[in-house]
Amino acid sequence: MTIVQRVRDIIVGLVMLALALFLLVSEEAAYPAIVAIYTLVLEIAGFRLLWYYLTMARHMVGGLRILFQGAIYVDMGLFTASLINVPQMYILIYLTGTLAFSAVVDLLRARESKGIQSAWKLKAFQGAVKLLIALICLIYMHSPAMVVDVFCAGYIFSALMRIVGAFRRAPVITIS
Amino acid sequence: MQGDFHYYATYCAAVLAGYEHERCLAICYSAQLVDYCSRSWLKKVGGPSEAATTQLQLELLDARTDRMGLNDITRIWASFHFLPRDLYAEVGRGSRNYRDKYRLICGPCGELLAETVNLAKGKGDQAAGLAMHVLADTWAHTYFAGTPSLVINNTDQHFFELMPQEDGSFERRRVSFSHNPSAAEDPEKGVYVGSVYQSSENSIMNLGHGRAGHLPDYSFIRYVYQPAWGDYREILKDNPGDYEKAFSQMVYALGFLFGTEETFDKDRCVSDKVAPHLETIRGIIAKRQVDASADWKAFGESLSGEPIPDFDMYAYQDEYRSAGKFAASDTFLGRFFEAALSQKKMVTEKIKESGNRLAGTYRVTKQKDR
Repeated sequence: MTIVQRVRDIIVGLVMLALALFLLVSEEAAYPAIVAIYTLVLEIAGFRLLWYYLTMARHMVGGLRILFQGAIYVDMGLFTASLINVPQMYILIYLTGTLAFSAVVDLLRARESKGIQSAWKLKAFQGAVKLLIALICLIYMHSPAMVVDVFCAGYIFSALMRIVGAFRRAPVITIS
Repeated sequence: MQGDFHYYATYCAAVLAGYEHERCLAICYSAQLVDYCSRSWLKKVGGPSEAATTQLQLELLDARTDRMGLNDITRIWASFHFLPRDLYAEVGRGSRNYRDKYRLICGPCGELLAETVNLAKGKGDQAAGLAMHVLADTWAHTYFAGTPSLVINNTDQHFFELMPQEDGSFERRRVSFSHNPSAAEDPEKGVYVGSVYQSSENSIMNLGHGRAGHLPDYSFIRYVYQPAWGDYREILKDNPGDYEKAFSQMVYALGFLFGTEETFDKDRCVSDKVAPHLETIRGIIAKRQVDASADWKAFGESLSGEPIPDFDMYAYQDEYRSAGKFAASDTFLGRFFEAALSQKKMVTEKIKESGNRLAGTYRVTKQKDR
């Protein structure tokens, strides 16, 4: 991970922390802000991938993977934007769903890392905690205030993990 | 390539080209030093940081991958380890950025190789050794580029080793890459260490043959794979054949630098002086081992009748440090740094002249007094 990538991760982590605290303090006003930021982040990531595919990756063996990733990001961004006018409950369900999805991705990555004798415990722990938080959110879905608190806790956890991850030394294989 | 070829095989090539023992040692030492001359090492010995010919893992970890950082990485790796074969190659597709990266793909017998060898002519044994490193790597690092790039350097699961059979045929064996840097490579089981897939185009994981790890550096290996740039065409890399050509081309190039050959023809990969030893050389190259140093060393000592000391990266440090500001350029390391700066300048300028922006502009900042 380069210094720029570390700084980026720290900034993203701090923004996530701020969002979680904002959501805890002012539950009503936070929803549109969260939806807008989610939408923006997904659209930027999606269009960057699509541009990368069109200009370079379409000539690469396995480049279709980039196209699919970009299309999915753009689609998710549009879907997120459409949630601005639906009841908050559905937004919470959606956010919980993304948390659960993220947990599954972390667990799969941890499994893959373990398979190749790489570091996997931190990633597995992260996935397990996210999954637990998503389950608690689902169980208490009838109590929006409770769900918001639990969701915020999960968000703060993810933010802290991202910041901690930015300070870790990653193994790297280079050539000579 | 690794120390076995850059140090011991280069020594053998220098002996066959006609150099005396001490000069052979200077040449092979310089060839090997290219893999150690990082900014961290230069700081220790007090050399100019611009003369860096490699980057350590820790340096790469913190290397910037913005435009300036990529230029710096490309200047080092394209100049010394992945010399581009054709800076004007027809691409006919993709953006300018794709074309620039494609044209940095390394390969043997290119125009820049001729420039490299001619540049070393008359510049001493350090320049000759450095040029031999660059020459040898053009054979081992063929099809990879000395700049971080997913679209050029990526490899996928379609990666097979061709195992020679007793009847002369070859059997395919899938290569599985481990991503644990501390794991041991096991050629017998087909397990090699490679970098992790990173979808970021400019990740340092996508520099050179990082995705395939050290596998391309082994002289015994034959493999087929689909390079990221290759339109799903399978490419065969025959290292035993290529390493033999690399060795012969080194003997020929060193003959040119020594003065027994009048010109250097970049397409010539044979030398009459190698023929009597071909069986021994082929035996060393084809032996399944991750380090052939002992065999090359024994061959070199049998050629010259002199012992070859182990490589010591700090062997010339005291001489350089104790030399005054103005005498440093006359030391062993001083001449090596001069050769490195000349090579980097030449390659960077050639890349820039071709309209390629990836190496940026060559610039030397004034050094503080040592």
